[in-house]
Amino acid sequence: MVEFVHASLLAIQAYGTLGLVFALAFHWRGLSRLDQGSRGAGLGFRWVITPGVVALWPWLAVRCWRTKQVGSFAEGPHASAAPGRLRAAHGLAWKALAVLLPLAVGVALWWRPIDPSSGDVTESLPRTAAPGSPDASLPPQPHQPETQRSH
Amino acid sequence: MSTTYRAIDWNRQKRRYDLTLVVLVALVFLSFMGVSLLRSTHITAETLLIRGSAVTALLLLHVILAIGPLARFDPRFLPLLYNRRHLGVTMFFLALVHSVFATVQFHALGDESPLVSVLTAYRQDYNVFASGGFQPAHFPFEPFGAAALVILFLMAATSHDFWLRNLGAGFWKALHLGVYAAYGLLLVHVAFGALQSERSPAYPLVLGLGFVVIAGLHLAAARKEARLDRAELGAEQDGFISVCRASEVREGRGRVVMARGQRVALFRQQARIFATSNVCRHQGGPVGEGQIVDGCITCPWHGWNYQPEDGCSPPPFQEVLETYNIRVIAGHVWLKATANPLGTRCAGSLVDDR
Ligand code: HEM
Ligand code: FES
Repeated sequence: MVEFVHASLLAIQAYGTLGLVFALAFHWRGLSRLDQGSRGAGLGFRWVITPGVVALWPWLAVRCWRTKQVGSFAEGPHASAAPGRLRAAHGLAWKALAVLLPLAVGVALWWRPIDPSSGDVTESLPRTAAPGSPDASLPPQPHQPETQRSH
Repeated sequence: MSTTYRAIDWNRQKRRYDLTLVVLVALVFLSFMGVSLLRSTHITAETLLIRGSAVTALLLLHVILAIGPLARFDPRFLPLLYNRRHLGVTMFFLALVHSVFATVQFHALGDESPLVSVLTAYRQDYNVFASGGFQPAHFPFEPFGAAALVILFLMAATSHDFWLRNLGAGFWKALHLGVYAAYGLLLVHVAFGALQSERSPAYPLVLGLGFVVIAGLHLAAARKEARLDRAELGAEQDGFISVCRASEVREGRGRVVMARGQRVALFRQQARIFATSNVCRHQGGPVGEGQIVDGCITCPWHGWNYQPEDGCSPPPFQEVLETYNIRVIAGHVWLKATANPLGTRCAGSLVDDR
């Protein structure tokens, strides 16, 4: 698990680095070719879109490449999302939430440990000590009882 | 629909909006801190910051999710929708503050790098079945928060209209549907995280209430939409469908009707009725729920303009809505079910109410 996360983070780092390099090139040449609206746009606009350029650079790269092939590719002023499909996706998202969320939160609450002090335990917040830190050997919640509600 | 992009297209209304937003966020944050300090004086500044930013962000997410359906029911909520993206970006930054401080507070001291520590079940005893029975308190809730943060980042980073245009409206909208995934991930994050140690019944009650209200609003809005889609077709003649009475379209106002599965916006201006597509070229807003301002159809969501007679945005803008042919006969509006080619001029049909 830890190896997998290490590898994934490394991959994300590489992706982000490529994204940064792409962003430089994009601001230099690609942007004004891709979208007429960016001609004459100020530095503020360029800053605002940069996080997205770094995150979504493959999409923009494809767009830039296709623009070169067919002249102009930036979404014409006549395109719009298909509202019917969108409503369907929206409905599906809510159906999934309506089932999964009560289930997940229910499980989390039903089996949660019985509160020994049955009072305010706000102070117990730092319950996730990092490994290697002095109190890493303590149980995650010092106040947590060993006994669980039996269901 | 500016022809040249700007970082933020601020105008007076948006400035007022943002100022109100900042003041309200600060008020919620401060009240949370005040209540927390009243409940316990041992709480540290970091903990206050971690919890305060998290609670404010989650509250803001509820507001964001409620605005859409509310605006469908009552136009008085439309001004909130107008600048919703600033709510989203503000929420992302609050969530970022929470995530960064939580990561530093709980994961920076170990010998594993903090991010790896957040994303893995960084403790040997972080095992939900460690001592026999199922223990939700040992469930790794933090990766859920991290996943939500990634979604919120992508949405905030692509909130500028540049992205709508250059990712394509379909992809952009799909990306922004991610807000529901983020909401789900966050409820899991809180249920298996804070709710395991926080015993006040108010917490789960408030979360549950939030869910019921948001889900209820969306359900009610979906029913309203479905009713519109099921609206019965009137009589049909030479490709024209009878859609409503002319008196149902008020001067300067719009009305949405159905024609063979398509939503069409009717508008009345100077005693003429015009018809255009109901789907705004910006973010697909319901054009027909808007009104005519200075002679132009104005989308209720962010105010994009279209001329009623040809569906074109006034120059220098280039967006165009399809127009539909109309006939008003004996006080009834008849609509040609197929749209005209883009840019077709239609004189509209004169209404004789007298
Ligand atoms: C890397 C990402 C994140 C990490 C490491 C993280 C970590 C934590 C931790 C350690 C807690 C305290 C749990 C407890 O009291 O037992 C917490 C609570 C919470 N988190 Fe996160 N979180 C992350 C992302 C997020 C995001 C994006 C949100 C969005 C709003 C969020 C919302 C909350 C809320 C509402 C709480 C409960 C606050 C309270 O104590 O009242 N978290 N998180
Ligand atoms: S959807 Fe934004 S102006 Fe119409």
